[in-house]
Amino acid sequence: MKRIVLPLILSACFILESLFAEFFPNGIFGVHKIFVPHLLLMVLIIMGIYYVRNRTILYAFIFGMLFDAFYTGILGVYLFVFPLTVYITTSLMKVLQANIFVSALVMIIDIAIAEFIVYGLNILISNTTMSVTDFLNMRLIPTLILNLVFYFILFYPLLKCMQTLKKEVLDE
Amino acid sequence: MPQFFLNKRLIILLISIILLVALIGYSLRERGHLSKPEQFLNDVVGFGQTIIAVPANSVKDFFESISDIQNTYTENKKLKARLDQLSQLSSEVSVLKDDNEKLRKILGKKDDLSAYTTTQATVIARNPDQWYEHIKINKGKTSGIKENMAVITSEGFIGKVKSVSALYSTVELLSAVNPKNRISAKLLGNKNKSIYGTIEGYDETERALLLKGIPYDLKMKKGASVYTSGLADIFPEGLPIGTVEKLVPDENGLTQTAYLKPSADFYDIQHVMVVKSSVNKDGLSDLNGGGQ
Repeated sequence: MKRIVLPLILSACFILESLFAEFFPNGIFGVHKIFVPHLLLMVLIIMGIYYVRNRTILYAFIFGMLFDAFYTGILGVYLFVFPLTVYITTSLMKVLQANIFVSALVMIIDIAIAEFIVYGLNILISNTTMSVTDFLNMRLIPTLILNLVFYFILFYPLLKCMQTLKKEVLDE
Repeated sequence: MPQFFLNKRLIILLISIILLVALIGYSLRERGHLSKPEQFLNDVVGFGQTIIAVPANSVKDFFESISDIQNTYTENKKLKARLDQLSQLSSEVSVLKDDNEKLRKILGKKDDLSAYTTTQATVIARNPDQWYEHIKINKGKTSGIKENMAVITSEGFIGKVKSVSALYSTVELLSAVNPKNRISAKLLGNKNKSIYGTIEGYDETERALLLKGIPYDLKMKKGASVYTSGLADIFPEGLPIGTVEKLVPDENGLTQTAYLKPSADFYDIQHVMVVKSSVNKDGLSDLNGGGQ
């Protein structure tokens, strides 16, 4: 039972992201900005901070692959980005103290890095014509704000969950 | 041995970058169908997605119908006013249809570019990273859906089927940035002459579709309706795309571009219809290279 908790949480995030995009596409609250939910990445980052690194990278790899195959159709982008951000997270956490605000900061940095890499790749394969200023104003800043809100809602339940799971891993 | 670890990390990074480039190249090349593993993944994930999405959709429908009830009274008034015209219109349509059929018989013309059949489908997901304007629908190969079929809502044309797996398919919306996304369209200009052009791209800031390749001297009315032409595409004729908002000359002045207000809302899609043209244009799709 305990083994399937993490895959279940991650799958739920995977599905909820798309439902969010379906129900609030392009402009909630009456603003014409792009709000991108990054629930999956957020849970992976919290896992990277409070759970075991290598397992998290494995999960990031699997869910990145699913994300590519199911949503974008361009294989390799999130397959690369998700494990990379988890890796950056764990390297940052070696020098930082883990608490709610520091992890919020780390999450923001990670999501910004992920967004920038994906933006760069999209420019490279000419999938978008968005300019950098547009990207920052229309997409990056609203996205970071949205995910910060998600983070503060979900942090404590996730933290409790990660702590119990980590204890179990250490007991083994 | 810090040196050794540094090298290992570097090697992993390099290998993953090579893999990344290879995979992206693989997915970008012209391919008719998804590979078998991808189709399998799509079906499995789609199944999970449907389990959550269908109840969520019904909850949304419930709240929408509550807000609908609030407007019922005024809507009812308007609809009653429209109803009187409707009976007249429907009799006119039936007469015209009958006429059309007879004339076709006289001409000995069997194929009708505008004839099509539709398959109903429900949207189960939308791409959360909004770089790609893709939606997933819950009908696939088993329901007879193929790549490049047109997809419409009750309001108008929204896009085409990008890829199919056994049970689900991906629809690329017209608002997607894709240089290969071209749709032959037409509208009635002055003196009932048809004007032809191609839909090439979407203007994010104006939220308008671009109809390009219109001869520079043609004039058209604002609000004229644009339809699919059914000529080069594998789409049938007469699917509404949008209405003309404004007309601007091209950079070199040889043609002009019309900005179209899309007739369907690309941001609120729940139920769609996949259009199967009744005319067999299989040969044409080869000519077009499948990249329309």
